Amino acid sequence: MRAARVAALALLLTMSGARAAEPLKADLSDHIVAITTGFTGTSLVLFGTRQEPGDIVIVVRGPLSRAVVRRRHHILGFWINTERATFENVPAFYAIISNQPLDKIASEQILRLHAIGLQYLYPSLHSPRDLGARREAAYRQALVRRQERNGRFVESVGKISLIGEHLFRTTIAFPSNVPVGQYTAEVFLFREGGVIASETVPLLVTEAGVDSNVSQFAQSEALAYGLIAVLTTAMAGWLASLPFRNR
Amino acid sequence: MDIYLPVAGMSQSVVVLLALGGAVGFLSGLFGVGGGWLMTPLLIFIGIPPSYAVAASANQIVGSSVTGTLAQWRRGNIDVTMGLVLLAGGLVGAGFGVWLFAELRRIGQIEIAINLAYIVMLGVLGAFMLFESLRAIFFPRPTAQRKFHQHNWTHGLPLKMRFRRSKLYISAIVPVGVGFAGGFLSGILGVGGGFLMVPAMIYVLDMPVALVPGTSLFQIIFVAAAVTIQQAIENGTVDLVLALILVLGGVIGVQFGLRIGSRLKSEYFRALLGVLVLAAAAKLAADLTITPRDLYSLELRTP
Repeated sequence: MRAARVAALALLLTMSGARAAEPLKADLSDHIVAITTGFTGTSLVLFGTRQEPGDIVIVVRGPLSRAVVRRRHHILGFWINTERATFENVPAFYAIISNQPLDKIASEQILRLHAIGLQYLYPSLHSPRDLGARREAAYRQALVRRQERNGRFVESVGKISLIGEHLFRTTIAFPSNVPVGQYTAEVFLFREGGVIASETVPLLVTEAGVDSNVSQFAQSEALAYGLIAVLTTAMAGWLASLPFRNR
Repeated sequence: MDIYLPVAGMSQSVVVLLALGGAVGFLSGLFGVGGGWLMTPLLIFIGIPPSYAVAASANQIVGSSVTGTLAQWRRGNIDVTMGLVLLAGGLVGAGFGVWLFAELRRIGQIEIAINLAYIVMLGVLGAFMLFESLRAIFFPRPTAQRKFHQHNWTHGLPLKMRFRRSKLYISAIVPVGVGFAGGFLSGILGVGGGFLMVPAMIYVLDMPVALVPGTSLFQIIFVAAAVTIQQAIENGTVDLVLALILVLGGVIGVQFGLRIGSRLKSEYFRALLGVLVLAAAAKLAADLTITPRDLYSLELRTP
């Protein structure tokens, strides 16, 4: 068993060594995350090889969506939503895994260029009023904070394990509320503050089985779905009364 | 054990949902209350977003009111004519309620609207239950016998109709109005509206008390069905999996409630329930007045 594993490893190394033109190769243990009835979150393994020494940064992005951030104000003793800002092109999920802190890997400009790091996400802002720079920053921070609390924005440092000089692997955790859609996992190889190689692995998060049919049907055939919902519960109510018919 | 709720897009513990449905069903059986007004806030407490809680509650009420209506039907306690007139108002009220719900959701005020409405409703209801039960405990005999067929302002209205089963000759405008109010609450809060309609049917319409629960349940089936279908179309928030688990839990809970309720002196429990309901209202009010941990909230809309 152990011998087989070593052999496979050696094979992988020689194969990747043979293609020296590719300094970085990576893949995921699965390219589809299927959300089924018992789904409570899952994790995937990302593994790869690097032919040159350097820092590894992995960025997982979910589908782009629109985020509405609302702020409460104290009115007549109650906290009521009064102000809002809308952000476009916000990744619904965003995870960064790096082998050491990002500021030690590359400069701010380089990170910003590749949109690596929560503070360098620059979605466009639509606000009902012209917000000042300070208020805009507060909304931006709130967006990141809320997403972090939901487990949808994740930054983790040092969670990449290196096996020898070339092989690396890490796990990417997806919470139970992971948004469905098309994802990408980008792997960057940094050296001396610059990107020397990168690779993008696609990933699909989708509802599967009965649940996907239910939610798709609920969206596309809302009237029929509503009727079925009513008839099903009415039927359940009728069945429930049967055992007690003679009282 | 968790189950994925496909429309709400989240996982919840089956045990918690069954227990919740069972607890509400138990109270329904024990006190003869509808329980929809408890279901929505409890669902919100366990973390279901308010818009999904309201829709699932309405859907669940379809099931529980079918069970209740069938039981009353066998005893012949339903005034179908009155039910249909109430229903006419109920459907219009429900339509208005769901429309307002969608508007409030669009402008981001639905949570505060639902919370404020519940604070008022639970506060009034809890106080009423507590007051009624305390009076029953300390003054066991009925204080005053109601006169048969009292005349009030409603008898001056036009469009008079005869309701043979209830032995009433009154203006159709009154039951339509009562139905409208119940339907409106059903549309916006996902409640059955029985807690509002039952006293109105007794004191305003002057119906025979024996016919009130059955007739109100009969029309709630159709109002709750209309609310469910409208919520499905306008807001897409009806989660059938969630509703079915609640119905299942409720069915079991009701039977236990009925059995225990028939053996116990219910005034004390009614007083306790009143206190619990008041506590729930206070909790909701506190949540709105205490400075929140985060002033900002987020809503993601995937295109």
